[in-house]
Amino acid sequence: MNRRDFIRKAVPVTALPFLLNGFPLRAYGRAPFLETLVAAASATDRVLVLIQLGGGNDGINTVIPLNQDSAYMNVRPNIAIPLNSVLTLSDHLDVGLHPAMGGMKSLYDEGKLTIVQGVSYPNPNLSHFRATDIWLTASDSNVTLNTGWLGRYLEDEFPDYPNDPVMPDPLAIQIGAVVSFGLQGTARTMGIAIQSPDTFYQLVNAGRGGGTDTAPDTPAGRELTYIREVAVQSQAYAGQVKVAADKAQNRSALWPAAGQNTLADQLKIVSRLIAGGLKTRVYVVNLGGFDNHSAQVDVSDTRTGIHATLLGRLSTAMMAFQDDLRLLGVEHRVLGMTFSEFGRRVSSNASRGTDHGTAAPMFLFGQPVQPGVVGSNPSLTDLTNGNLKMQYDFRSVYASVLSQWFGVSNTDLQAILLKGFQQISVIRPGVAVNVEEPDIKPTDFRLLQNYPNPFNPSTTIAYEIPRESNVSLKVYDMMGREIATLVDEFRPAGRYKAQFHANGLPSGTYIYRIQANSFSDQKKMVILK
Amino acid sequence: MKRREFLENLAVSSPSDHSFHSLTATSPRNSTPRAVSGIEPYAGVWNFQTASHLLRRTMYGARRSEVLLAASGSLSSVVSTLLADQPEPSPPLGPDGISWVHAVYDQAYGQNEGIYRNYLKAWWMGLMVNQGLSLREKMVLFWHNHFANEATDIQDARSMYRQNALFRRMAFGNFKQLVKEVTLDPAMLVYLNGYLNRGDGRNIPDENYARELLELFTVGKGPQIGEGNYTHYTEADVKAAARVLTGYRVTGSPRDRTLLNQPLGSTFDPARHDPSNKQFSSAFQNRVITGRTGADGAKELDDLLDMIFAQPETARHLCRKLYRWFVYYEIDQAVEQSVIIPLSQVLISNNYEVKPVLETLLKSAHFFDPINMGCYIKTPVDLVAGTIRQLFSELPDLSSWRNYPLADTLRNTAATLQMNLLDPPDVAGWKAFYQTPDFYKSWINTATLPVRGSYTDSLVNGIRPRNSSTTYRVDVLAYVQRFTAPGDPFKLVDDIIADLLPFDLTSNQKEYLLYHVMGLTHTAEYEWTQRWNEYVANPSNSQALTITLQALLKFVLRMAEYQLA
Repeated sequence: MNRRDFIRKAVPVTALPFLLNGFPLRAYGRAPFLETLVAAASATDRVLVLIQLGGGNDGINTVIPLNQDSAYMNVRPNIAIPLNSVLTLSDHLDVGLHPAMGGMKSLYDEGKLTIVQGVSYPNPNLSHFRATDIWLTASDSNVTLNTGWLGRYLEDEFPDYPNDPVMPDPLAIQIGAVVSFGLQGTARTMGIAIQSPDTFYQLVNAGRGGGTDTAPDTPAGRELTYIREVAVQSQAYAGQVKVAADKAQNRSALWPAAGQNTLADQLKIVSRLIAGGLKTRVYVVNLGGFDNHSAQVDVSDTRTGIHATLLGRLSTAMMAFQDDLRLLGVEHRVLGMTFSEFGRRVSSNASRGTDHGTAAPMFLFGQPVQPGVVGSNPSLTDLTNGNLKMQYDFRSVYASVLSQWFGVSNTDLQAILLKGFQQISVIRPGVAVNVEEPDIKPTDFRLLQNYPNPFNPSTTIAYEIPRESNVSLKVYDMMGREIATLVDEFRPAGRYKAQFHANGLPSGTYIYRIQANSFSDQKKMVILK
Repeated sequence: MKRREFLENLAVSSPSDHSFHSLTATSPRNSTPRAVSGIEPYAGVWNFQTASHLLRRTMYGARRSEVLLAASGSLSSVVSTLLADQPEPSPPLGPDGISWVHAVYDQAYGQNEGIYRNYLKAWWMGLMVNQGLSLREKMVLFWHNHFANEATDIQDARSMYRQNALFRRMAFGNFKQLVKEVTLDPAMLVYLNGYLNRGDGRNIPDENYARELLELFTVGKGPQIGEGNYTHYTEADVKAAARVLTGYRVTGSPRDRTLLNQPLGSTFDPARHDPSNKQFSSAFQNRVITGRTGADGAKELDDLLDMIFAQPETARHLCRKLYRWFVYYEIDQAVEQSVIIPLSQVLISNNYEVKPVLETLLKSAHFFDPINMGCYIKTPVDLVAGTIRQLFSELPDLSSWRNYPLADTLRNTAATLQMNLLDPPDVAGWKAFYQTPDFYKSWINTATLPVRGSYTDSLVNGIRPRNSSTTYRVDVLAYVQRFTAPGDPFKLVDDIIADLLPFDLTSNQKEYLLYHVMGLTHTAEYEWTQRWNEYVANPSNSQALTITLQALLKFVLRMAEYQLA
C-alpha cells in the first residue's frame, strides 16, 4: 500500500476533532499516542487551495528584483515602485515584495510562504483563453488537452467517483459560478461549484448594492424575486456542504468585512468547509482584474492603483485565511498555491500599464511549505522578445505538489502530467511524501517507524541493511504472541519495505521486530479500526 | 477591438427584433401594476420578442427556428397555424412494441396495466417534445388539468388513453360537447363514481361527479352566501344533478363485470335511472328537469347541460381557467371586466366553441401587454419538454421505440418536479392554477428548484436514461451556431438571452456572463472572436470551447429568469 491508499482509507477525519471511539478527545490529554494518531489521521485530509489570479499578474511589480534597481527603473519609469517602499525579505535582501503585500511578507517571515521565481513554459501563449487553458490542463503550448490537471489527479485517485464509497463529499469545490476547466475529468467535471448565499445574492442581483438591479414590483418581477429567494434558500441548505459550513465558524479577526475583498469572501467559505470536516481535496477560488494594460498604478503615486489594490486583496485574504486556519486548528492540512495565466511585459507601456508577458512568480503558502525563495530574480535585460526567460516549468511545481503533498507516485505522476517533470522542494521535510532519497547504500542497520501509523488495514515497514544479511521481520501482539512473519530470508545490502496487513486483527498496539545478523530492534505500531 | 467599440457596434447592428423590454424599464407605478388593456386586437409590433412570447405560452419552449418563422409571418397567420387541426398521432405502444390501447381487459392486460400506464405517460411526453407549431398539446394538458383524473385511481391505461385522445380530438372544440363526452367518459365515470350513481331501488345517488361538474368543471364555486349555497349552485343542486346523472355504467371495464365483454366505453341503463323530476335552485332560475323514463332518461343529461350552459358563470369560469393557463394567475376587477367577461361573451356567442376564444385571447392587446410578459412560472412539463425542444438542434423522435427510455426519463423528471402526467394531485388539478395565494409559485420550492437545475445541467452534460445505451447531449456548438455571430461575445450573449429568457438581463448580469462565466477579460474580448475563429478553422479542436459554452448554457438555464415564460 502506498501513502495515498492510506490517505484514502484511514479513519475519517471528520470524527476526530470531536470523538475518538466514542470518547471526547480531550480525555486523552496530550498523550504522545494521541498526537501520533491525530497527526496521522489529519494527513488523510490534505487540501490544496488554488487561487487563480485572472488576467495575467504583473510578476515584476509583485516580486521586485532589487538586484537590478537601475534596470527596473529604466524599463518601467512610469510604474516602478519606489525601492525604499518595497518590502525586503530578510533572508533574501535582493528580493522585494510590493508594498501592498504586508500580509504575505508576514507569512514569509513566519515561514509560511514560498516564492517560485520565473514560472512559465516553453513557447508561451499570450492569449488569455489559451494561456489559461494551458495552465489548467498542464499541456504543452502546442497541444490541446480536454482534461484539467487536477481533474486527472482526482480521477486517478478516485476512479469510482461519484460513486466512491470512501469519499462521500465533493472531490473538489469551486467557489463561484462555474467549475474550473482545471477540474475537468475525462467523462465529467470532478468538482462542483458553490456560492455562498451572499455571493449568490450578488450574482442574481448583480447589483453590488446599486439597487438598480432589484426586480421591479411587476408580475414578472414578483415571480422572479420569489424564485431567487428559493434559489438562495436551496443553495444555503445544500446537503453536506451546508452541514460542514455550519460546523465551523470563521475565527480570525483579520478577515475584511464582507463585500470588501472578493477573494477573502471566497476563502472564508473554504476555511469553514475545511474546518467543518469536508473531505474535499481541492478548492479553487478566483481573483480577477489583473489585466492592467493601463492605469496599473496611480499617476500621483505608483504605490497605489489597481494593481496595488489587487495585490493588497490577495495579501490580506491570504493572511486572514492562514490566521483562520490556524485558529481553527487545521493549518497543517492546507497548502495554498497561486497562479496566473501569464506575467506581463518587462517594459511598461505609455498608459501606465503593462501588456501580456510570460514568466512570473508563483506563491505557495501555508504551514506545510518549505519556505523561502526558489530560483533567482529574473533578468530584466536578458530577454526573449521583450519577455522574461523561464526558470521553472509550471508543471514542475504541479508535479512537486502532487508528489510531495498528495503522495502521488512517480508512475501516476507521469500519467497525470503526461510526461516527467523535475521536482523542486516545496513541502517541508517531515511533511513531504515521496521525497527522493539519494540512492546510496545504507551504512548502518536501521528499523524505521512504520508508515502510516496508526493504520487500517495495512502499513509499510522500512528497514536498511548495510551488507548481506539473514533478515527476519516479525509482528507480535502486546502479550508477545507472534502474529505474522513478514520477512525470513537472506537479503543483499539495501533499503527495503515490507507490507503488513492487519486483516482480522483487533485495534491495539503491536510490536514489529527485526533481526538481521547480530542487529536487532523493535518498534510499536497501532492498528485503529 | 475595445469593449466600448464592441458595444457601440452592437447597438448599431442590433436588429430591432431583439430590443427586449427590460424588467427595470417598466414605467414607475405605485403598486403592483397590472395591465389595463383588454381583448381588443393587439396592434403593436410583431417581432422576435412578441413571437417568442406567443410561442412560449402556447407551446413547450419556443425553438428559434419556430420563432423566426412566426416572426416572419403575421400574428394572425401564426395564431391560425397554432389553432389548425392536426392529424391524430399513432396510439402508444407497450414493451416490445405491443399494442394495448384496444386490448380486452383480461388477466394479461390487468397484470401489465401499470406498465402500460407509464408507456402512455411517456408517449404523451413524447408528443409534447415532438410537437409542431401547434397549440394542441398544451390544450390537451389544459383539459387534463380541467377534468383532472388520476390514472392511479382508475387503474386502466386504456381508458386514460381514451380520455387523452378525447382531449386531443376536441382540443379547440366545443366546450359544451366536451363536458358531455367527459360525463360519459369511462375514465371519468370510474374516477368520480358516476358508474355507481344509481336511482333505482334503495340506492342513494352518488353525488361525486355531480358536485365536481358544478364546482370545478362548469359554473364553479362562488362565494358561500348561505348554508349550502355557493352562489352559482347549492347543495340541493348537487343532489338534483346527481339524480339526473343516475344510470350510467362503464363497459369493457373490470369495474362492471357484467358488461366486461363489451368494448371499452359507457352505456345508459334506464333501470338504474331515477325518473322523477329534479328541482334546481334559484341559482338555476328554479328550473325543473322533468324526469324521463326508458332510454329517454339519457336525454336528461342534455337538459342538465342546457341549464348549466345557460348560466353566464359557466363561460366565465372556463375563461378564468384559460386566463390562468395562458396569461397570469391574478384576476383582479380590471381583468375580470376587460378580459374575462368579454372573453366569456365570445364563448357564449360562439355557442361554446373554444377556438374563437383562444383566437381572441392570443391576438389581444392584453396578451401582449409587456406587463404580462415573463410572469408565468414554467410548469414542470414546460421546463422538461420545453428545454429539450429549445436546445437540441435535432430532436430525438420520442415516438420511436429506441427513444422510449428518454421519454420515460422526462416523464419521471416532470413527476419529480411535482407534475406527474395523468396523475394530478386530485380532481381539482394542479394547485398552480387555483390555489391562492401561491398559484404558479407552488411549483418552486427548495426541493424542486435544485432538481430543475440538475435537469437542465443533465441535458447539457449529457443524460443517459436508465436502460438506454444512448447519451443525449445538447450540442452546444451547434446550438450557438444558430445565431448570427457566435464569434461576437456580446452578440452571442444577447442572442442566448433572447432565445432562452423571457426578458432582457441587466447590464450587470450580462457582465457577469461575459467576464465570469465565459471568462472574458476586459479589453481582451477580441480573444473570444479569435477563439471562435480558431474553432471554425479547426472544428476538431473544440473541447475547451465546448466546456465554456456548456458552462454558459448551464448557468443561464439555472438563472431564476429561465424559470419564467
